[in-house]
Amino acid sequence: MTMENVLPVISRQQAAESEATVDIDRLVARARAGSKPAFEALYRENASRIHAVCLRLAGDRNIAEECVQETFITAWQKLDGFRGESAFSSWLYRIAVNTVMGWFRKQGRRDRHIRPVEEGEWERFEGETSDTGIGMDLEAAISRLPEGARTVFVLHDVEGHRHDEIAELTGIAVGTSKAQLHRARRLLRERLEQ
Amino acid sequence: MNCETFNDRLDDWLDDELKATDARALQVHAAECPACHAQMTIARRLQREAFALPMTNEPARDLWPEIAARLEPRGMQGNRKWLHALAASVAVVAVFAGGMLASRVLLQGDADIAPRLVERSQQTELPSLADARRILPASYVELIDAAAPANASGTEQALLRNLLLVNLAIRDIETAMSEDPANADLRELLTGLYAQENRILAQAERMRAARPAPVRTTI
Amino acid sequence: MNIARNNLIFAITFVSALVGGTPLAGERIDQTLDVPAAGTVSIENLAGSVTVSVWDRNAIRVEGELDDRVERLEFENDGSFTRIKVIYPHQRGGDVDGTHLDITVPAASRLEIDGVSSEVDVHGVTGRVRVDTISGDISADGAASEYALESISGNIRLQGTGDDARIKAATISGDIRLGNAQGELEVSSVSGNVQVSDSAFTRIEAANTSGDIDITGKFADGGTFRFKSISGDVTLRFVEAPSGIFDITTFSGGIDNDFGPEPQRTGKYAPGMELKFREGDAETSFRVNTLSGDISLQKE
Repeated sequence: MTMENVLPVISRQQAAESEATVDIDRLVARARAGSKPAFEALYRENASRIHAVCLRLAGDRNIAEECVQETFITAWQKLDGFRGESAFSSWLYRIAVNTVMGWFRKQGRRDRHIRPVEEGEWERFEGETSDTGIGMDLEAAISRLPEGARTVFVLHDVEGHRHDEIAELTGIAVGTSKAQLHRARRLLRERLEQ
Repeated sequence: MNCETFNDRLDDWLDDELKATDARALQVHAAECPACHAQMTIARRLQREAFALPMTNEPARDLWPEIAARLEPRGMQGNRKWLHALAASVAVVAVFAGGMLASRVLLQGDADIAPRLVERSQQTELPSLADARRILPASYVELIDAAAPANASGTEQALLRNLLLVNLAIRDIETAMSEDPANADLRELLTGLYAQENRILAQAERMRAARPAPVRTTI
Repeated sequence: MNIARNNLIFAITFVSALVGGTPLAGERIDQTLDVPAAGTVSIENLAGSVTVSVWDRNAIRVEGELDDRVERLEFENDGSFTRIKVIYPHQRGGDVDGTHLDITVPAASRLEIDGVSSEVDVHGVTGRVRVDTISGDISADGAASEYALESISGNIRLQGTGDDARIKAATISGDIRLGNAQGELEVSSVSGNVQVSDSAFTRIEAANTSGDIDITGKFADGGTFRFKSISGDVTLRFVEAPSGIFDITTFSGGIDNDFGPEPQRTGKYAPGMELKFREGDAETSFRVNTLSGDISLQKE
């Protein structure tokens, strides 16, 4: 073990390099004892991943950024409850998913950015340009799926969870999860065909 | 199989949830029906591309400053109470008589001048064993529990409490360094503390390795 | 007396508990082996005490009282390496009173003692002394050229060393006390206090976290002396006129000095103090760095 493997003001590159479990352990220990710099290092290590998850689930950059912040603030508050049963990043991931789900519940069904859609309809954002042709931006298409379908599609086809795991993460029933997945795929396939 | 059934079953097929006979039937239909074959191709492509999407996505801007601003100070109950009590009675302490008077200012909270420091009283108290068990990561506690038998005259306590002491000191220096990153003196102290932590963990590791296995073994 | 290269392995076996009978109250032993004048002696005693003295014979004598639970005592010699080991059975449960060993060795021996909870006392050795305990106190005196004394919670006391010795002493929570030491010193603790008196050094590396460092002695010209602490105080008492370059900083502690200029604040809004100056002509280098511990430079 090197002595200088964690520096308090930590660049993303250095954060990415401190992969060893013992280093994460130390950072978590210090964060639990109140060290914000240690928690910053944990943030730098996990931010891109958490942001990717939040962005895909939320379908909107502003909401995603808000959820990323909420995720880390919640994690900071709940650090006492993290005893290392899972990897820190897994624990953070669950908080992120819960955070986005919670955000939607708070916002309710009607919202400025996300409108409920009929089968086959697509949401349109301000300034959206029409498709450029054969090459579809899959990420953009996913972001335009209706909320329920998007959640399940991201967790299942992008993140690789099974339906029972999705049920546990989100509270959606397994049957509903399957239905939403099929709906999402159908919508995306129609898009791909165009 | 007809095209309608094919479409109904395509998703289950993608997720390997079809019985072998149904799966076979689906593939046979796809071989014979160009429209459905196209559907299958698109479906598989979508599945592949979705799974291949990047796991990470850098936020457009650094969110840390906003997060940091919203983090409430954490810390041990005992430590905070003690510091507050000290702050209530002593704002500026004149340390030395007969010679240079050095004033030491007790700081607390997230004052933007300087970080909260573990101030030394007459005799610094070691953190309690309860706090050590609570705050140190589970892997540290497990290592030391495995290394020091319960009857080893307080060794387990000494290891855990000192390990937390070192980690709290690391926290305090990291806090100080976050506001003065170029401070080489602090960095020197921090390096020393990492060495101290390593020493404690290495000792525990050696002790654990030297203990007889808990399960009865035949030699 | 010449020692053959491959001595007989000389194992002494004691059965401490008779089957179906009351355990013996502690076997007494007294054995002597011929050994070279400056061989290595390895001593392992989990619990109890180890006392080492010297004589001018080329032999090692082991006397003592074995704990009830001891399986056997190993006392064997192979050329210049001698091992003395108290062996307990694997399924060892409950408290151990401990075995008390009195060992006499040639003065020039190089000792390696593993004590766990044993108290270790070493007198008069001139070769090398290495002691490792977990909770046992360590006490050494003599004129050895090398000391490596380490404990977790045991206290360490070293009184007298050879000239120009290399001394390492480290604890986690035990106190460390050195007197009449000469040479190079590496000392560290986490929460124990370090106190050195009547000593003369050419080099010191001292580190502590919450314990104090208190050193009274002579600091040789041209030497390097570094002291680090977090919240413990650092006090240097100069027996001779101090001379050299001083670099003293504390992040939030105080500095008090009998010589040199007045300490300065490190910054307008910073709580720290610093003191950097030259005294006299020597190329000696003094560096003291604490977080919140107070620093004191005193002239005796």
